[in-house]
Amino acid sequence: MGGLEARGIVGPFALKGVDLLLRPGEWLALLGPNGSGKTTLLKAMAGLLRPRRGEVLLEGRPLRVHGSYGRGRLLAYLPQGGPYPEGLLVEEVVRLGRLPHLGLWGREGREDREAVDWALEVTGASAFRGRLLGTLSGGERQRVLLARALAGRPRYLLLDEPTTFLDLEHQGAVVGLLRRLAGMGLGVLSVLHDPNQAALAHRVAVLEGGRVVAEGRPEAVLQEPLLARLYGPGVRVVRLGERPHVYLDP
Amino acid sequence: MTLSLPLAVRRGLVFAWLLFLLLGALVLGLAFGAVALPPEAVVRALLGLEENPIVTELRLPRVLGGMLVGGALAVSGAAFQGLFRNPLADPYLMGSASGAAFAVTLFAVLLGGLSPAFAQHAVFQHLPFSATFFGFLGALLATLLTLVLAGGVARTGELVLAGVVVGSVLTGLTTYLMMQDADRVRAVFAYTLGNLAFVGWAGVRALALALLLALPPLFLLGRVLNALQLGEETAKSLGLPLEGLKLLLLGAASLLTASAVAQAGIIGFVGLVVPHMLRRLLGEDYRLLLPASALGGGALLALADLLARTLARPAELPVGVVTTLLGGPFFLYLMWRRRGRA
Amino acid sequence: MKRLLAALSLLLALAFAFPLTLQDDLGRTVTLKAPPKRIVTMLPSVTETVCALGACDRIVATDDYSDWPESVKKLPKAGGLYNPNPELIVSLKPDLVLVSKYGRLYETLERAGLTVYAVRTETYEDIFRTVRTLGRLLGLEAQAERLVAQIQKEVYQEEARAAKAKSRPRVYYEIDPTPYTVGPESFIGVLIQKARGVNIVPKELGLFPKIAPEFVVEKDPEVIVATYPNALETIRKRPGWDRVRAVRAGRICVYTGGEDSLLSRPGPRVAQGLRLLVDCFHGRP
Repeated sequence: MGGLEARGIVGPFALKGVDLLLRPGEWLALLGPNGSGKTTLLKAMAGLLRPRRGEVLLEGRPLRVHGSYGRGRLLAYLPQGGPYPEGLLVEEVVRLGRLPHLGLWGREGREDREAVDWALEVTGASAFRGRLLGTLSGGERQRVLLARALAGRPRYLLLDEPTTFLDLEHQGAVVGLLRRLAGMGLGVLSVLHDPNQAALAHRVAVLEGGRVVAEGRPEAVLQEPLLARLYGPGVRVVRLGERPHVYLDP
Repeated sequence: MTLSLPLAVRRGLVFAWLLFLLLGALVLGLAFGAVALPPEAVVRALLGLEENPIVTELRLPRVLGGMLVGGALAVSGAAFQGLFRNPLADPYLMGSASGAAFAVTLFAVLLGGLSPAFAQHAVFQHLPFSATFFGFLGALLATLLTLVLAGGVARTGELVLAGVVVGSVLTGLTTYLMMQDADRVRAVFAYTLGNLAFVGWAGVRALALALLLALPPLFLLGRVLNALQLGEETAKSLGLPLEGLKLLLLGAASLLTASAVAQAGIIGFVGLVVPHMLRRLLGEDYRLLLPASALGGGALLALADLLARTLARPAELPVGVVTTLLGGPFFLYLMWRRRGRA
Repeated sequence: MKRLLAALSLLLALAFAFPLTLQDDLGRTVTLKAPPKRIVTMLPSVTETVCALGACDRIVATDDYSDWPESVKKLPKAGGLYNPNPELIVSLKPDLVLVSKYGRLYETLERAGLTVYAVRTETYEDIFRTVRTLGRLLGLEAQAERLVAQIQKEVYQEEARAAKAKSRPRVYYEIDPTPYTVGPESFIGVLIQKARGVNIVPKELGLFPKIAPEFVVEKDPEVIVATYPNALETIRKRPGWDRVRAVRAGRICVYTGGEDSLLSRPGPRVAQGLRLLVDCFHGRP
């Protein structure tokens, strides 16, 4: 069976027993207040932190069975913030995404070059492939880093707050890209801090105190009582058509 | 000039320049020295038409040794800077320089404790225990101690900290030993200033072997160093077996540093500044930066040594003083120029 | 008769010379009310000179490196130039401390109320100047004159021995393996000349230059003198030095373990150092 699944994950840090399933072809947004364990869960599902109890299944098999390169080929992880290799060419940064396929000594072939071209194309970063990363704006840089994550042609994409520090235009671009990627069949799991961006996802999971306290379609999860508990009593939810819209009414 | 050219052209030019500099350092290094020799005498000696130990036994190995030491230091510095993502990292970061100085001092003290007659005993002379060998061992052991204290390679910050602690403690012990024996203070002090005066063919062979062992893995792992610039987590998420790779990188870089320190003492600035200069010209692609550092470090140290042995000839200046006086202002110039453009 | 004269001169000195005001080698004015009875010397050559003047029993402490005559080895050791122990010196209540003109030890001791005299002993001439100065300071001027005459006589004997030799070998003198050598105007350089050797180092390079190895090979010295442990092995192993005449002929004189201080200390035993060099350059008699 497909999917990336967390089963009864306890520890490290805040996680107190989490079950979560990311399916191919869907965008799942992870919401929750600071300290609820969002980033920890993401890292555990990416295989970067080992849970104290429970396990992560990738396509039905435990993560470690895939081996580190096998895991790297299937799922890509994009952390929040830096470090950014400012002295590397954009194209070289994106090519690093091919490492799970190439290993340490492999030589790049046509398939690798095509994947890099595709990743640059789909993220709209082709125009600056010949520039140094350090010369780009924040939004341009984020596209390149996304392209790096996509260059390995993963089936699952794990992103930690991919829209933070971006202006509205670039936020929109990233969110649109995530929807499109899910449409291409990728499973996308993103930690988000803005419930209105989460509202654009296929599904939303809310993490609180190390547990998933709500999970489902955005319009079902993003309700005033839950949000008031997470973000304070001034939270209001209105409907823009089908979609819930969250705002603060102090 | 070069900074405004397209990157690919600029990179090609930089490598051409480095090769030119290296060749220039070789030619000038052979042509000039404390003793004035006509160029045709140098050429005849090199071709074996005429016996001249000053060219074949002193100058040539010294120039080559300087290149190998400089190359080793610069590559090691670049690797450490990439590994620790710290632009202030230098080849001696892991405490190797202090380890070597300590071991050499210990060697001198142990030897001094023995009666001169015994020290010159035939058996003693045929042991491979030269000061060079001790220095090499000291550098490697200090690096190992740093690794153990940091609990492995996982936590980069702790590695840097442990390196600083090991370095300081060993420097303190060295100073203490030196205080016990004033006669040897000068010799050990000179060692800490660096010296290429007696690099002979044996030293060149030892350095070449170390470079032969350490450079291939380092050059091949350039891509890994690039990936590390994305942060260790991202590098790990790409499937790289990071612990082993870091150990390999550290081992190869430490082998280079230890060999350089053992042959030439502690020469500052080359390992710190050469990768920096080249990073400004080439960007941060370690697949280019490491080989470029090897060439640049070799050229810089050979040229610095040329100045050290000719400026006050037939007296010599400590080569470490020259690298610092040469590298420092040039580095400031690069910084100042970049600020001017920004 | 001699002894009577000595006692008389001491009395005279006591009567007329003290209180004594002198300028030390730092240009400081130093006043002694009476001949000092408790002396700390912080320089090996000064220790040797004080003892050669017959005042060894007045020394209450020395620096770490003073080791001649044998009796001073038992005295408290008050450190060296870089790590002196002023507390120990003060606690011994000396009435005169003889220090090197280098270092700032005199400031500390002066603040503690001690009488401090800074000495420079670097050149051959300094030996005799220092003997005479110490003679005045200690109230032993007659002994000082006798000591000067004796040292000069011993030196002359060695010079005369060297003068009989037919050859004047080219000499390279190495004080550490960096290599640092000595210029002709240094103390050792003067001894080399007196021993009828020709220093290969030109005087333009100064007192203690770091020399280029290829210069040494080019000058092809006939004798090499070195004063650090394991020098023989170190020098033989150097690239290209197997062609040097001194190395081929095995004429490398290594002086360590006390002999080296005869050559490095401008003091009353200078003639013994000179004898080593004459032996080395021209063979033992």
